[in-house]
Amino acid sequence: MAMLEIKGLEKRFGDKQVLKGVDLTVPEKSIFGFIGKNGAGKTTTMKLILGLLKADKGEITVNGMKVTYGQTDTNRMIGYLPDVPEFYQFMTPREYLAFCGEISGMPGSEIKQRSEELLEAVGLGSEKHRIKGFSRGMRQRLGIAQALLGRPKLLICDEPTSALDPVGRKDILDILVRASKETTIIFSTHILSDVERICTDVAFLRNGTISLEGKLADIKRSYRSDEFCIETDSQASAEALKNAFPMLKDNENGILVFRDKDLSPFEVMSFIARSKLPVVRFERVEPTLESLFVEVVEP
Amino acid sequence: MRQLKAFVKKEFLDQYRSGKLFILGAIFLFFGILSPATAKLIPKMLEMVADHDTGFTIDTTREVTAIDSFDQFFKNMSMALIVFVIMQAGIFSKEYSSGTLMLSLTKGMSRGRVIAAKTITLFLTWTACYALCFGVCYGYTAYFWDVSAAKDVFLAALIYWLYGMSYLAMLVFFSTLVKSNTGVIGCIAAVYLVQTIILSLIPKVKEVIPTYLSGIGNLTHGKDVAFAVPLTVTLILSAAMIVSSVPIFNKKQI
Repeated sequence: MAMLEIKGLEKRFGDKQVLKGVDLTVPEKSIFGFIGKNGAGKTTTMKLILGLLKADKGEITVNGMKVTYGQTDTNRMIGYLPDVPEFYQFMTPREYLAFCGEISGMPGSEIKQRSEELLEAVGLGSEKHRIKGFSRGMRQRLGIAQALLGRPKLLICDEPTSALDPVGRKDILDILVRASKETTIIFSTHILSDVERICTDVAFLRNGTISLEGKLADIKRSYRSDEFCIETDSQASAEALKNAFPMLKDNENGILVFRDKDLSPFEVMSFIARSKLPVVRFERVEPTLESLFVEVVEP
Repeated sequence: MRQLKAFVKKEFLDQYRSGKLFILGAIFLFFGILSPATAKLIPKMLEMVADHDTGFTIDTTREVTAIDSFDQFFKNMSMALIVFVIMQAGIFSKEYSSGTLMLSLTKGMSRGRVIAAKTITLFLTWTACYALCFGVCYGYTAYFWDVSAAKDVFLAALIYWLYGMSYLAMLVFFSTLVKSNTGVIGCIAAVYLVQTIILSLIPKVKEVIPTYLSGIGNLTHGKDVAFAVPLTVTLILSAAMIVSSVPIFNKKQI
């Protein structure tokens, strides 16, 4: 069953139509990458899911339950990490998590145990100071901890890694992967390497609609090209190959490329084997998310 | 109930750690001491100012009584109430602008309980500050003068306390309508101003509108103050404002 379903979602701010009919299905237990340029409407979509904004049109259901604007009960199933999480600065992380646990109706003993477990997991286990002095990265970690506190069915993260350094990013992604064993995660981002690292499903948001959606592996497969590339260790080998196969093209870095339909890769391989040419690399060119992004998101 | 308790606890932790509780306590304590002190010292100061050679005299024969001290109390209280409202005006707007409320709401915190918790916090804080101020004032007054000279002191104090509560109800109500704390203060000031204008245009309504209660100190003079109608109006309006702020808040974009 789908954990989150969005149908025909529209939202306008003044004369700017941000969402023009977004349809989206997030399968259970997936890590869903929600990709789009800055200002594409990712945060707006997320706020609509949380009932923080009023949709002009369309319907959102979380685990089969309809989201309503304002006071909405679906939020009990959702953990939310905003792009810039803001906490009560006068509290310590433990106090804050205890507060979150109490307002979400967790039993006292569980709050304590879960808080310790989560603070340990996000690396704030020994932090005794008030949130006031926390760095951006620490806030993001605490943000994940509070979002996961109530063991939500759906975890919504708004650009969780955008403001972090590489180490901080890796940590957050690792935490998300671990969390994905228990919960469905949807996270928005424009950092494609993060998506490639952990996502199972992706959707591209462009011009207020979803321009591409599906399993990451399927999408990559369907966009797979028939292009191959060969990298040799010397100019001489490259020349030898080019002489044997005039179809080979030099690309800018001295790497030879060809297409499946022009030339059989096996023929090239056997030539390399016969002539004992030293090659560094012989591979089928995988579409990167980068190239997909450019293709799908850029007009 | 647990949600409410947790939120009230959080509010008080904020009041305490931000130093608001301490500052308000100090201010109300100061006003509590100030009222009897003024009553005690002013005649003496005036006597010093008076210069018999030039014929500039001030009649200091009238004896100061407990009534003067309580008069000062009710006068100072309006000032203390303004300070209280200004200091607490950000109780909602601070959460709007920082975005802290968003996380609580997305955790399933009921919006109605947010209103309830903040209202309770304001009422309790006001009650504590007021009780401190009145207690100190009463104690000193009883020490210096015979309090039996003043009539209905406790009744007057009780009514002023309720009058103060009506400003807190306004604070909650306007906080659900506007986003900034200056907006809230502006709205409350406007309400006060409108009442004053109405009062000057149609003096007949004076015994109906809430601001009439600010003169409740006259009760201690033994004067007959018809407070029943304005008090009822004030209480009904306050309750209406608190109750109607819930549906407004439920639809508010946070």
